[in-house]
Amino acid sequence: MNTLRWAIYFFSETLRTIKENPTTTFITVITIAISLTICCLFFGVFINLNKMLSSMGGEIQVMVYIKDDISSETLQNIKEQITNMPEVEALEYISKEKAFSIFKNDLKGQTGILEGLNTNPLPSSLEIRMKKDYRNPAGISRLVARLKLINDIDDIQYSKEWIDKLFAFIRFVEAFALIIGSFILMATLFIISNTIRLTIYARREEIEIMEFLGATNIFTKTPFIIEGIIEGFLGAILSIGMLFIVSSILIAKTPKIFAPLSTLPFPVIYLISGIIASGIVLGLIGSSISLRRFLKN
Amino acid sequence: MINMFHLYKTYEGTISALTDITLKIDKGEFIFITGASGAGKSTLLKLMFCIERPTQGQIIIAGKNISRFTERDIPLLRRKMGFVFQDFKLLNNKTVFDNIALALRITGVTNREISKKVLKVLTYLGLQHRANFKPLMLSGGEQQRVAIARALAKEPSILLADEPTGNLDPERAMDIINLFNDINAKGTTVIVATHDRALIDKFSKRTIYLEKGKIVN
Repeated sequence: MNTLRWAIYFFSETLRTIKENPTTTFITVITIAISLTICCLFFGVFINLNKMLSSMGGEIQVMVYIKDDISSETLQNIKEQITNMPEVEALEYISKEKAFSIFKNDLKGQTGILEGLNTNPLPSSLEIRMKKDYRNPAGISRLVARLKLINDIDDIQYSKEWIDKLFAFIRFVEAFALIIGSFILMATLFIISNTIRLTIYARREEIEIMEFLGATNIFTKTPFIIEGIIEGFLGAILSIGMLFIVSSILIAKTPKIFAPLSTLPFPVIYLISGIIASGIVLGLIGSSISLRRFLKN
Repeated sequence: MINMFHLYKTYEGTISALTDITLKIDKGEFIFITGASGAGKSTLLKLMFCIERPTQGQIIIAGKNISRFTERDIPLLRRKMGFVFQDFKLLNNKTVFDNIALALRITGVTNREISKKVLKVLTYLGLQHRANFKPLMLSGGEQQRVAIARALAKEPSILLADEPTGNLDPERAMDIINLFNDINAKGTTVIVATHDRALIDKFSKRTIYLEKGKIVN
């Protein structure tokens, strides 16, 4: 009963102050909404970019060329050895004949080049698809080292330079996002806590009077904390609206090649609940930080 | 009731506000603390209410050494004492009723009890017709009576007042001190800081004279 009475009191106090100070409430809600929108856009684009780059890693292929004069048992043995390697997801055997027909197909219209060629110069090969977790420079190096130990392999080919560049770029994007992302998060928290601080500053006399009357810190703080949470919630709702408008504009205006960057990285329900939770947490932390500057405990 | 032993208060390490104050105030006493501006009257009251903390010395109130109180203990002390300020310190966005009710709500009194106690204290101070007014709609004298009503609603054993008549004309000032006298007659210890000699002369009460932070009786 006692708890219910306190809850009713705190909520009615919070609603009263929101009603009495509509402008400051509005400014705080707008600030939270804009900050959250910027944060979400940044992380959304970052997650999509990272996904896009990582999927490029899926195109990584390692080709193993096999010596011509080996028996079918040896070939079978090589295939087994490679399939059992931890990095390997799938293996495709391309025979000399198949390689030649692919080559001929690629040269369509210019088959004259092949005239006078009496033998098939192409070797048979194994095309290796790597497991997702190993599609990185270190994983490839390990796989290649293992492959080199196998006899009867003529050559191993993979685009080392391209892979190194791609992964260096992914690492750069991640580091960049981490630094900029933490700046954005800190700035967001700073702006929100300062906006809430202004509303608390405007009511510092009220806080002082409550302290003189013998109010405990919890009693004084609670309405401000609830206010912060409500403002965080409203800011989040507004931010969801802003995000849908911004993302629909982005999707409509961006060239097709960048379309994956402006799509939703998560299911909508996760996104909405994540933004609401972030708004509430930001309001809570923002008001707590500001209150600490006004209350001794 | 209140005992102070060799109390010192220094601001910023060098500015001395109070020097070696030793004072005993009995239960149910009415005391004036007087002296020129800056003599240390307000500081002495603030020390008793834990708004300021002593640099040195002890203050014992009702057997408790409040100079050792932590921030956590202070609210409980303040609930047992009333403090009336020169500038009233009322919440201008709340009605007279709500201002007084707040002091009780803080202590966890039920709504029904709050209504009963607020109406009782408003009637006692002749303010029942002002219950739904906001402070700024009232005269200075009325606002000070609301502040006193708020202090009294908690039924404190000690009532402190810092220049309670400073913003009032002589007639209203006399009313306020008469009111304190009446409250004191009901058993509350009353300590009033004032520089108004006319008031002190009119009521023959024990008076503590402060000069540059020292008691000079």
